[in-house]
Amino acid sequence: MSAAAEHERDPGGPSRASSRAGRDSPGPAAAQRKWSSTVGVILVSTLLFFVLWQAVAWIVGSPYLPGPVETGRALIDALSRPDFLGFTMWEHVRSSLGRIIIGFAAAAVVAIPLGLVAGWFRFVETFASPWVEMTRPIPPLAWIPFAIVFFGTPLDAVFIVFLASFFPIYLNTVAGVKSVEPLLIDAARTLGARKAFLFTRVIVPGSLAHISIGLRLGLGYAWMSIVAAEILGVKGGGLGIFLWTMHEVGRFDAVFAGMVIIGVLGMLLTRGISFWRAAESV
Amino acid sequence: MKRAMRWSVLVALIAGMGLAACAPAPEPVSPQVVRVGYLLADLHHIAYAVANDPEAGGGTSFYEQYGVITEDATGAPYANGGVEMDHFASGDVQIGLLGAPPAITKHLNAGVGTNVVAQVNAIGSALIVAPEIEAPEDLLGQTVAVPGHAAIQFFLLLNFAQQQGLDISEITVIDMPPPDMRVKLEAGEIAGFVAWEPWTADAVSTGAGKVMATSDEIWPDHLDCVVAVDQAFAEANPELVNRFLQAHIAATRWIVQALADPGSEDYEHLMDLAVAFTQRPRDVVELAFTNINFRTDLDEGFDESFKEYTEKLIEFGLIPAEKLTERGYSSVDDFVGKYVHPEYLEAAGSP
Repeated sequence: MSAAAEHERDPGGPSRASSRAGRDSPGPAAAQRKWSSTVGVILVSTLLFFVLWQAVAWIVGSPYLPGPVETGRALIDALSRPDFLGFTMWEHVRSSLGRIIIGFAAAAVVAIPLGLVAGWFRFVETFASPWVEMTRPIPPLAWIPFAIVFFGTPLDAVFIVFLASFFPIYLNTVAGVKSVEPLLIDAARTLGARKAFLFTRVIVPGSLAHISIGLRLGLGYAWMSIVAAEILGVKGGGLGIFLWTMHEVGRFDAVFAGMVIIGVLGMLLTRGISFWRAAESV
Repeated sequence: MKRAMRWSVLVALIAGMGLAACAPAPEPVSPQVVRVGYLLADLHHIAYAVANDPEAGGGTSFYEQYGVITEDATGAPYANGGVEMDHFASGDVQIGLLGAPPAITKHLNAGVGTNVVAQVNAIGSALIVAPEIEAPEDLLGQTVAVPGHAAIQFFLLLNFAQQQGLDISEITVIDMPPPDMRVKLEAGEIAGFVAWEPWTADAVSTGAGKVMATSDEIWPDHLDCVVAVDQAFAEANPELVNRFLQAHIAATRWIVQALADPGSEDYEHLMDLAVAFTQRPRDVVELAFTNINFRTDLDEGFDESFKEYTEKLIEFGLIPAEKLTERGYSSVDDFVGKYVHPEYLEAAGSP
């Protein structure tokens, strides 16, 4: 999905956020009603999802597609006792989450400043473009043999997450800088803003919506890569290992339990970024 | 003198033809196609190559003699038995050669409709470690490769760890196709592996690794690979399954006889077939053969071994105990009794 398309849907976009602050100032009762309504819709949607899942599982009638009840049972089982690799689900989650957070944070720390600079200075963007364009199409998994030998545990998986997250964050940050309205820049310049002020007070805040999109996309890629990276072999367990080994022995109820965990964790982390973005907008 | 010799040759020829005529020959039947699954470069499954080879069958392959035309099932040969069981589930495989543990785990955990109808071999794997690994505890914190987590080799590793008092969670176990294992061991990416033959012999003969324990040492005379059939296919085609097993028995006997006579033509031909089947050099396959016991029977010992496997798989947590009842079995004994079908082998004329 293009950054622009995401931008259209982003509720905290830079242009709308400023106007919304002045226009929409609902009272506590209205806010409460809105919150209740949102929660209600989410609950109904979630319930419908589980009902549909159960119905499809019942119709298909195969252990390869367990229903939510079997999945729930397997989840409780995985959380309460170690599997045949010697890890509980908590330990798998802790391992994967650790790799995700470190790799993703490192990618954000490098990609955001680099993207801001590249977006602002054309020379930097041009200079970096061959590096970015040549490296970006390489699937992160192709780096695994290199990562295993040169980084070792646990940095090998962290490196894969870093690579997977870096490019969406970087490219969206560059796009964010370029999307800042020239009118705003001209206005700031007319009012005598110096370059440093312009960069920190106009460019950076104006890019936040795109950076937020990059972070959310990067997080999605991070999850996809960590599962694959763990399948290929990392020490200390992980959700990828859990999914793969359970698939191999035919425990599809446990596979779905792992998928649910990844889905929930991914959703929570993405929500976290959205909340951060919303707070920034306010 | 010359005339006497000619007469002797003629008499011998006639006698030979008479004996050949008296020997039980397969009745001609219309050939039928069977989609077969087997594992990648697994010397345990050489019976499949032998039964397909015209020379081993004396001019016509054993399968042809019994009216069977085999074709590799979609995706075969497979990287491990777990993958093969998935292809059973999708209907790709009708008859397959694979390890007993993947057959058990995928049948009980995922309800894949199969039955075991014959044995392929006993023993035939080993734990190979890098030269610097001196003791079992040196494997802690290291990476060990297996063909798959449903494979017999992972099961053997779990057994080995239990016997040595090693915590399996402190060993990183990864999947890898056996043909890649020696190279990864040499590169230092893994500290050891458990694989089927000839890949253990391959690592030993090239000096890449050494045997820490043969599978026979980990579990003496353990059963290894079996012939499994798709339940629906076997019920609809019992006679075809019998014929497939007749060819399998004939091929296995031929292998055993060839191995018993190292100077014979059959021995040399078996080595050629094994080299082609596994893509390993002659000395490697020759060494590998010494670690495999080819047999087809399903005797009481097999049932006991199969039962022990199932109990261990449950103990190790690969199969939750409740899966037995979910699949309609009251106990492990009940499962073994219903899952192993010796009647096909008996009908095929196995001793």
